[in-house]
Amino acid sequence: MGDLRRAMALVRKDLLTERRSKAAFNAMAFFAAMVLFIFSFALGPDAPSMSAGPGQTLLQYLWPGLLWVAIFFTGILSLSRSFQIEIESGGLEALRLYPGDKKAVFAGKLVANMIVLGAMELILVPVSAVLYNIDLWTKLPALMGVVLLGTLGFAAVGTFYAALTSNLRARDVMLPVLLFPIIVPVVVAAVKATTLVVRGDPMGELWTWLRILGLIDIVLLTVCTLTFEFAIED
Amino acid sequence: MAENAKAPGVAGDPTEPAALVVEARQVSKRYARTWALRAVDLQVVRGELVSLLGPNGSGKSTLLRLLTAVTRPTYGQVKIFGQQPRNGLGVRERFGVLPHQSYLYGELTAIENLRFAATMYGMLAERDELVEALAHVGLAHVADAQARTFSSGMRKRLALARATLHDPELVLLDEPYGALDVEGIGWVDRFVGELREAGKTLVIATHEIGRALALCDRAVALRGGKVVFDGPTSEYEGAIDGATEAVGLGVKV
Repeated sequence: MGDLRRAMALVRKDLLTERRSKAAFNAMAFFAAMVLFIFSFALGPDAPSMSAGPGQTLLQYLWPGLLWVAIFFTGILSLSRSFQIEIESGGLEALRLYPGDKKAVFAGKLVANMIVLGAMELILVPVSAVLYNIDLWTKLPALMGVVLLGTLGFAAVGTFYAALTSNLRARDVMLPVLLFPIIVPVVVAAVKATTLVVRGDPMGELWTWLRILGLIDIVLLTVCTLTFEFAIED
Repeated sequence: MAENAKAPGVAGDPTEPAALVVEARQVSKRYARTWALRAVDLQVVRGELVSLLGPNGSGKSTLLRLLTAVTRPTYGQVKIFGQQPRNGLGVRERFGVLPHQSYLYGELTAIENLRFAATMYGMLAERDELVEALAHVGLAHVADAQARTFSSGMRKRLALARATLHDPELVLLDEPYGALDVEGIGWVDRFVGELREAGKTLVIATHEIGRALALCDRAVALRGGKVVFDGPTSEYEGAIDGATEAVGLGVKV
């Protein structure tokens, strides 16, 4: 119970800090907008897709992959910021000084990251759908499930590595370098599941991919939770 | 240094395990290729006020960081209240720390900083209690101001309030007089005096030799990561007389 309250205190503290500074969210919103526009310009808004059916543009065909690229690239900013708050206050020592299981610190940071990432996705998903002219509205519940599972795996590993690299001088470089190879299974499963939601699932594969994504999340969450104490050690 | 722990004015008998609050045995700490501490022994008994003296880089802060278990010793063992501070059940709740850096969250108000610390220490603190803690360090009037707007002295006082919020038995202060004006120094002196009256055990790392000797029962001087003096403060001047070079301060008390 004490550790649950500690985790919630961390969530409140991080969200309050973010609400007042808006350091991560403003940067994320700007970066997400840039990513969406750059994809649009690079691939061409009306370029026809050779692989998809008639009337579908390349952007619409690639949207599931582009969405996750945008989520991961934008999310890096939020993950990095979550431990930057601690460094600005003097370092991770403060978190090590407090009693209780350090898993509570991981849980608190993870939930705070999930909330910030979730807020960003609530804007990113509909805006990108409108921008790329994708009909999502009937598929939203299933898509939300996929986005939630994908974000959980990404945030779990991201929170762990953000803590691990927070004391490094080259942390802004090291975080993506360490994080992206580990989340490849999340990327593959999340993009596949999103594609099935958007384009339809005639073979009934969606449930299989959701289970794979859920299993990957469980493994990553377990490993990161159990090893987090070592990540914040001196 | 066990024999030196039997200093005059000490409230407990160091031969009784229950009275031993801090116990560091042959503690060494290496950062990369540099030894910050070399085989340091330190015992502090209940109710004792110990000052850690020494120049910059002598190992004072490293020793405090080892005692609070924010870092592990390379060699040796540290016990607080007879338990390893890192894994001991209920040990961290029994000590409070004023770190060298404030560890305050600038975007949070003074009261929010204290509330966060209180929750992390497992306390359910009401606003009135937190305001009272702030009033104790003269910050009640800025309870709802963000900590980033505070002067360094105010931040130090807020960090002091946080260090003692959970009524710890052992208080470790790292440079409590650093970056303080005369008024701030007076606040810290009064604060330390109140902790002493309350029977707390204190370990203070400071450059302020005169104040440390006046306030504390015992002085432990470090240089180059080694203990060069450990004894009653009354004997410090005589022991160091003519040997200020050994302590590395170049200042005669």
